Amino acid sequence: MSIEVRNIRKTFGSFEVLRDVSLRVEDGELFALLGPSGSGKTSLLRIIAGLEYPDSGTIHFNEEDATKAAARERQVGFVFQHYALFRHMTVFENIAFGLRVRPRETRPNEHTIREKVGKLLKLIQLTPLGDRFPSQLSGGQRQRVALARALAVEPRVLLLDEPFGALDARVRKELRRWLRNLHDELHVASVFVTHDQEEALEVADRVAIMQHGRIEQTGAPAEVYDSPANAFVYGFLGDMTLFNGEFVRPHDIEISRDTGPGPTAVFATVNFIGDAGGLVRIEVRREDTGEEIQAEITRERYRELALRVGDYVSIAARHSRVFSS
Amino acid sequence: MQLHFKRPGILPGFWPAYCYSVLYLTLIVLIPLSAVFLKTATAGWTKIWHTISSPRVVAAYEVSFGASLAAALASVVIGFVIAWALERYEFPGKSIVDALVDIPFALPTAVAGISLTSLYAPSGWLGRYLEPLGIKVAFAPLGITVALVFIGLPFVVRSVQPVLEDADHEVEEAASSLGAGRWQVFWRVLFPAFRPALLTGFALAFARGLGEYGSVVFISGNLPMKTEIAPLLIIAKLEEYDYAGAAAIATAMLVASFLMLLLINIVQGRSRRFMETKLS
Repeated sequence: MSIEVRNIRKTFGSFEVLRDVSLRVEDGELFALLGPSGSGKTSLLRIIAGLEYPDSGTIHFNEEDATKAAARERQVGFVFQHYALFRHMTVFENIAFGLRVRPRETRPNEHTIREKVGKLLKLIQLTPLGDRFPSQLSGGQRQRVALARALAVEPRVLLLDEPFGALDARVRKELRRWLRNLHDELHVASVFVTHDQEEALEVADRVAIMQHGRIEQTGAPAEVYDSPANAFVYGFLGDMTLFNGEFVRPHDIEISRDTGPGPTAVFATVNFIGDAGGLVRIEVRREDTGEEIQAEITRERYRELALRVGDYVSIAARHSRVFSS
Repeated sequence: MQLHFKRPGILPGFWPAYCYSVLYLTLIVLIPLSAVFLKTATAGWTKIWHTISSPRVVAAYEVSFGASLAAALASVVIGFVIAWALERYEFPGKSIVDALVDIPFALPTAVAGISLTSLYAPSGWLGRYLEPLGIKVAFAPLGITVALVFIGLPFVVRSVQPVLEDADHEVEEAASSLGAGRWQVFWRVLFPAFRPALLTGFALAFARGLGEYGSVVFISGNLPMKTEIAPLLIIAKLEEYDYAGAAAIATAMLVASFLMLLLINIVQGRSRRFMETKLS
């Protein structure tokens, strides 16, 4: 089912959280809302879920206006950053909740519920833990239970608010790959909110980058990364440094020992070297302007150059960008 | 004999805390209570049995336990509504209402008893309207219950309030996005989280009601076999210098209330099983 958001505005008190936001998520798409905190991404997600109402604008599910529908009528699955599991219920009962609260006419019988919850437990690889309480699970396990609980009601859309935000780095990476595979299997339109650009670019089919309650750019990960619409998007999607008044990615700064004079040569001294990691981070200070510039070079190149703090080098930019403000 | 303690863990101060608790309980609770038992024992079994099984005493136990139970149940319902209103809604005068909740703690109970009696007596402000309807409050078991609700209410409100305050709003949102209606959210999601606190409030209000004397003696009318409470009979025995008899009545009450509180504690322990955070 497709989701369409048209001209949504929302204020909390005097603070404008969303300023005329429109976007469309196609059926079966995995869509990321990416932005720094306070950009309005979570508010937008909550409005789609019906947990918050917009001041103006409309929400459409499959072209059908759902703006006024209550959360319980929208058939959306919502996954919270802090899981929001029912802690007095077992894992099994948590997952079964959405089925048990259905009106009598549409409520499945006990046998069907058991079968369905059993399948979901298998899907989240927690079959043996069905009768545990949430407090007896790890963070990653809890989030998987929350996801299964949301999926149990066969939602028309799945909404995830910073689903991996409370987990440690390794579990995050595991879980987001798992989410991607799960999505490919289920193919339900999903929107997830994150402030982690790596997560958004790795997992999503399309990304919307938000700032100050506005969408700055929407597109496929490669598209927004390669042709960012403005300096904010460029800076948010990766590290950047200023060179000759233009934006450059640190890995596009070239460092060489060749300090002979030339028309475009820029000379600098090495200030700092961070050599733990796949790329070596070098900070240099320009001789002429005193500006500090960040660079990233491969370990191989680093060894070749045999750089030390205080060394005199020349620098150049392979690619750079200018944005009209 | 060897005593086994749960391993106290790395937090310091286990032994001082443990010794202090035992010392305190001994001085303030155990010694006075054992005096009651010792005094009872001086009477001999037949006299004890005779005292506590006399119809007047049995009737007083019935009044005491019946009214305390009814009052504790009423306090749980009313107290929960008050706590809910205080935590969930903003309304003018909220902080005044919040402060008023504690008044029964501070007010001398006799004052409460006299005020309630003058309100609910057949000629009182409220009593005169209730009398024609056939509702007798003052000088009837209902009056005792009313007085005990007054006394017990703050215990319930104050035990439930912090739990309501801590309640995670997202859990309600999760439930409603899963299709649950308002009542289902309340009964299936919120209420189970409040249950342990409600039980605590119930136990406190109930225990306080059993021991309450000051407010009840004014409103109950103290009719033998009808509205006499057990603490009143204890005082009566004391005034007759029948110390062993008074102690016997007290002992029977103590044992009964201890068993009830123990039961409540067990139920409560079960209802908060899910809070155990042990990773196994």
